[in-house]
Order: sequence, then C-alpha cells, then structure tokens
Amino acid sequence: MEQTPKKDGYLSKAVTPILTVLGISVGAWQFTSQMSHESKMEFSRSMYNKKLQAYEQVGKAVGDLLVVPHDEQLWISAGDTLAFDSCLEKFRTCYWGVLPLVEDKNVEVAMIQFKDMARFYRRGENDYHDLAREGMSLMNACNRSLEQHWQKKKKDE
Amino acid sequence: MLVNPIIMLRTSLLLLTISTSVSLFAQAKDPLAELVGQQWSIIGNSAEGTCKAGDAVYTFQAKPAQVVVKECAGGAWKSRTEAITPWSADGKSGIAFGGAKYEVKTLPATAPACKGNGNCVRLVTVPDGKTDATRTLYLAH
Repeated sequence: MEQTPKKDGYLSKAVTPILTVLGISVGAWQFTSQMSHESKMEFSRSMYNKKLQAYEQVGKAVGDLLVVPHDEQLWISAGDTLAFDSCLEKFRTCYWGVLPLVEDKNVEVAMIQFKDMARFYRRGENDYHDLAREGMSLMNACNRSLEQHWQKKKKDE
Repeated sequence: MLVNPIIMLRTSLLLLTISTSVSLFAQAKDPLAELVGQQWSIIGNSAEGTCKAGDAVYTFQAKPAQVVVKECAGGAWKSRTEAITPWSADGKSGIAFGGAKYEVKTLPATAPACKGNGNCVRLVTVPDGKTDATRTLYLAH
C-alpha cells in the first residue's frame, strides 16, 4: 500500500514544528545548565582567590611575628616584647577579621594553636623553636586547604 | 680469620638503627608518667580548708589510668573520677579526660604563671573545632 503525497505533506507539517520546539528546548536547557555550571565555577574561583589572599595575610602576620626576636633567640627579650605584642595584635585581627570569610576547620585549629603558642612564648613558657614549629604547621594547613579547594574544583569541572 | 665487609657494614647499620630507636624512645616522655603520684592543685587555689569557685585539685593514677578531680562548687568540694586515654596526632601527644584533650608541658619555676612553684605543669586543651577558646590549667604540687 502506498502513502499518498497528501498524507506525506500532513506528516511533515506536523513533525517539523515538534522538532523545532524540541530543538529549541534542548538548546535552552543546554544553555541554562552551562550558565549555571559557569557561575558555580566562577564562584569557586573567586572563593579560591579570596582564600589565597586571606592566607597570604595570615602568612605575613606569622612571618612578622617570627622575625621579631632578633637572631631567632630562644627566649623573648624585654626589648622585643612591644614589637611582638603589636604583631600579635595584627595576627589576631587576621584571625577575627579575615578568616571567618573563608573558614576552614584545619586552618582554624592551627591558628588557635599558633595564637596560644605566641602567648606562651611571650610569657617565657615555650621557646622560639616551638613557636616556629606552630607557625610552620599553620602555613602547612593553609597550603593543604588551598590544595583541597583546587582538587574539589577540578573534580567539579 | 676473614670477615666479610658487607656483614660488618650490615651489623654496624643494625646497631646504629637499634641505638637510635632506643635513644628516641627514651626521649619520648609519657605525659601521664609526669603527673602520677602527686596531688596537683591549680596555682592560685585558696588556702587549705577554704574553697572558692575555680579551685580544683587533680590526682592522677597510672593503673587504671584515671584522674580524681576535686572541684569547688557552691563553697563545697565535689569529687569525680574521669578515665584517662592517651592521644597523639600531627606529631603532638597528651592525655584526654573529661571530654577534652590536653597537651602536657613541664614548666620551669621561673615561668610567671608558675608563681615560683618548682613543680609546675601546664595542661592546654587542644581546639575541638567547636569553640575558639582553649583552656589552660597551671598546676603545681
């Protein structure tokens, strides 16, 4: 049995708009999902940059504290206490002002421990080596935090 | 008698490894061992017989590993016993009791917080990730 050309015409008239609508819908869906992915990636990238900036500030505050004792002397001297206190204030500003925005549990713990150790060094209870060790642990925690952020981003991509 | 140089080298390396391990093990202090056998009071506790809020006395035992905590509450001493467990992480170690992990450090009498007490230790809680504050206990006997 053969289809008449009239019937073929009706079929193509019915299918064409359906295909057009379907094509437009798929295109729109692709566009929206791509945009959503892009905006997520953009947010993740900006968070990474914010984290990096925050950790740079932390690193500077830690470095400033660690260079106060001249010649890395084991115990704090009376002449260094004023400068040390001033640097500790800067570190505390970092702790309360910058870090809550890009909070990471491990970095937070390392910051608390460094803050405590700075206090203990200031009081003559711990020596410079302990302070430097805590400073190094803190910077390692920052480093790991950035690595994890980067890996998570790559996984999302 | 001929001695194989390889065997000599191996023997000396083995001896070096053993002696290094022994010396490292000897250096590692057991935090609980520093505390047992004495009654430790918080530096600044009230005079004996009296009691004010914040006063506390700790008596550590090795076997079973536990601590008897005597605290002043409402003008009277109250006692409780807590089990002690050792902990170590990230190159640090200490003891845990009463839901907190502590790092233990012996301090010299010259440390201001020791107020001249020769036998002085500091217990600092390890941050638990819930609060920003850590607790520091200065104890003497």
